[in-house]
Amino acid sequence: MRYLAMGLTVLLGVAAIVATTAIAQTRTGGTLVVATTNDTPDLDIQKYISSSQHNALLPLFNGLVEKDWTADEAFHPIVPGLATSWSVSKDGKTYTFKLRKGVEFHDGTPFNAEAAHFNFQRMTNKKHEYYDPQAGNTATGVLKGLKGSKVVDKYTFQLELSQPNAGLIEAMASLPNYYLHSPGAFKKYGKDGIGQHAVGTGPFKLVEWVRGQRTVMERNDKYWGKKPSVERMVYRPIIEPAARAAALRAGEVHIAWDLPVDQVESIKKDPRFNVYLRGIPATKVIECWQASGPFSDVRVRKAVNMAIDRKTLAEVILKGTAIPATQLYGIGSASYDKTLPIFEKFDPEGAKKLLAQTKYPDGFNFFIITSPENEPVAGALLAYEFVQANLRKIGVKMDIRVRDNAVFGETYMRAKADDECVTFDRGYDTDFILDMGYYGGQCAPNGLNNQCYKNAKVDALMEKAYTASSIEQWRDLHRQAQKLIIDDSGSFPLVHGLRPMGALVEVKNWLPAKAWLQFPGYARLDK
Amino acid sequence: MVAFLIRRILFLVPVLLGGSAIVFTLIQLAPGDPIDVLLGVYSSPESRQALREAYGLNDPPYVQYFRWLGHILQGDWGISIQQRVPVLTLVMEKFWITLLLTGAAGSFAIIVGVGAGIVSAVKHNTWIDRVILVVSVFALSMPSYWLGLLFIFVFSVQLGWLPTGGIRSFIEPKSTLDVIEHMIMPGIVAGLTPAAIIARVARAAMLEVMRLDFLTALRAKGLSEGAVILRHALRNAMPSIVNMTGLQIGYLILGGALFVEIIFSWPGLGLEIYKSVVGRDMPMMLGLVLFSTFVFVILNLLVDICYRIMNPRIQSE
Repeated sequence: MRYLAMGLTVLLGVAAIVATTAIAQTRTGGTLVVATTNDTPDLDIQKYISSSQHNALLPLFNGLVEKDWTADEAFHPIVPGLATSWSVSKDGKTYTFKLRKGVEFHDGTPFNAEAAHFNFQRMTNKKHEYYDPQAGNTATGVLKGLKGSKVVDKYTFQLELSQPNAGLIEAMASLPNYYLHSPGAFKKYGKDGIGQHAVGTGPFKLVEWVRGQRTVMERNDKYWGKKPSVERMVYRPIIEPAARAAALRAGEVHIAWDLPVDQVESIKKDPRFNVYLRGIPATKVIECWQASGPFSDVRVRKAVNMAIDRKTLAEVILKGTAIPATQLYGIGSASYDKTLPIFEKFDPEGAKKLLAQTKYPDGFNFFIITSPENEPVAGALLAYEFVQANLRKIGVKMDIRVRDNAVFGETYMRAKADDECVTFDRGYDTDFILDMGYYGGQCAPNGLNNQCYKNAKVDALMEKAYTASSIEQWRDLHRQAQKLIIDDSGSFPLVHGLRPMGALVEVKNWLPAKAWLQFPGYARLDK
Repeated sequence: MVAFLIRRILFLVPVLLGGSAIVFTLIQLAPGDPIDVLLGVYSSPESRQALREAYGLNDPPYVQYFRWLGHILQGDWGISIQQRVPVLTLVMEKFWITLLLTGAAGSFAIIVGVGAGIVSAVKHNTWIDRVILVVSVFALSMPSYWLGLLFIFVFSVQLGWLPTGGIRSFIEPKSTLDVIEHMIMPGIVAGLTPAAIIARVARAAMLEVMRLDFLTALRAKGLSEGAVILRHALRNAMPSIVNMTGLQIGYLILGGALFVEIIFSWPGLGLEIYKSVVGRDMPMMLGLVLFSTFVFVILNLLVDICYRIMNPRIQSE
């Protein structure tokens, strides 16, 4: 008994010393600590098209063209990156970039047209020594027709396309898988080693990456653009939203991304924190198979849309962390039109009457496959349970099937059963979502139109958009296509996410981007 | 003893083979594809097909399994599909981190579990015994996920005593006790369930021993109660306690601390198992299963050796 008591005393003693040490320590400035939602599996920025990977690596790299993620505007404008200007040939198949002079990668390798060519060869030329199938598939999967690249002179570089693509600059600016590695790093670390060494031209240099634990970056004092004010920035991946919020509340991190729905109000009320609800181009949507079955009838789709109470969903169920969906594009998207009304007026009685005119007067059953881990707009299951209750009132029974990311991906890409739907936070930092999800020529399983939505007028507008003379015209044609899809009840958009982000009040000069990508590197720390 | 050891080590081979074959089959039967996860839903069918080909995932399952097995026999554990890093490097990197957590949780479980079990047996049918029983039922029935969040709220957010998670701090200057500070809460939360199980086993084993006549004889000879309990009763109850402790620590390493690792952002094997399952990362999952089975069998072997040392009757059989 005496030994046991001694043992417990020692244990408690150690705990007390440790706790006292923790309390006695003082806070120092200069290092910005950010709680992110996930880590990157490796450091090769060209391989992925996922925001968690891109976010982790964004401070270290630059693209030829970029978006200004710090701009406080309706959407983030395209700005010059490593290219100072660009032009497109008359046939729309050649893009010429004038490159920035005097830029060096973090390892001292000079940036020039050869360096850009090396990177794009890695994505497009299967015979290239450093060709990577994953990087290649990612690059050409989004940019239809990307064929190759050419060095014109030391600071002039060309991209070649097999078909015109007016959205090329928009996509390259929004998706960091087109950002550039140092060719010197490839030669030093080899084809596989590049995934463990991030050597770019970005405003921060990599100091240390410990998988799943931390990414430590220090300011690049030779950076060609605006220099960060903090000396160091640390990304700390915390998967669980409640734990992320706790780390912010305990003052262990300066910024926490994606706060949980149920904690936003209490953190907002605490004077130690600032909470931002700026929006993300992500529209929570249910997408159902339309090639056959109940959803092939536009009246059924309209009735379902009319039965959903989007206002209550956004304001009560999701506690103001989202707004009712008005369209397919999300907040922060260049094509988002804030003048549009709520997607379909909430009218359960009207919905019942409309349904009575179809083959399903007494309703029908269907199911959704959902993977909440895939959806950054918080409160996914709360939202679907609410919609389930809404639809029950018009006799439509919706079954919710939660699956992991792998099952969701497999379901998304195949042809589906008549009563099968998937849920999605549709959108990205580029306006490509309509091409990806609503183009009739891309019907699943042979394309990205997972619900097999078909409208010849929409297809014609999108085809015209590919050969548009400017990005503005490209966007205008997409807006027209969106209008047709809305009139057609082409899917079931629920809410536009506002993406709650939190920061300690001592974090100044930072606003979250209205985007999936975030760059807090220009924040300042006031002690 | 040598023959016993050789027999047990040879026994490892079918266990490892069987374990890997079962896991391989289960992964094959499960829906979902690593390439879909890797490329995301915006990839084209041609892109996915090309990458599947490049990673050898189009081959028939038995070809994939035997190719993996052939490589394992040559010491090559393969490359993680998701992370493009050798599986063995990743597993070892994570193993030491999990071992830290398991060490903290195991120490807590042994000290508290055995201590509570002894006290409960000695104070049998008193209020102390009942309190310990109630607390152990509470510890057994509370999900570690919930307990973890509760601990974070109380000890980190409200009291500010301990860090919320991770393995080290970034805002505060580094201290030598930094890692220990980060280990305390996850260690206690992960150790609570094993502690409760060990406490119940220890209590039952002690009660059984304490009914035996030789303890009365020792007391009659004038030995102090402490010496009777700790030197004689506990020693006789130890085989059952060691057996259960070994199993519990094996369980912790095998992913029992999974939820604790997620809640406390502890970057160990549990978190890696979760990520590889979600990403359908076959080489990583097989590597993790092979490694965990190996560790579990070795732990059991150590427990059996301890058991034989502590219980001479088994040794003579």
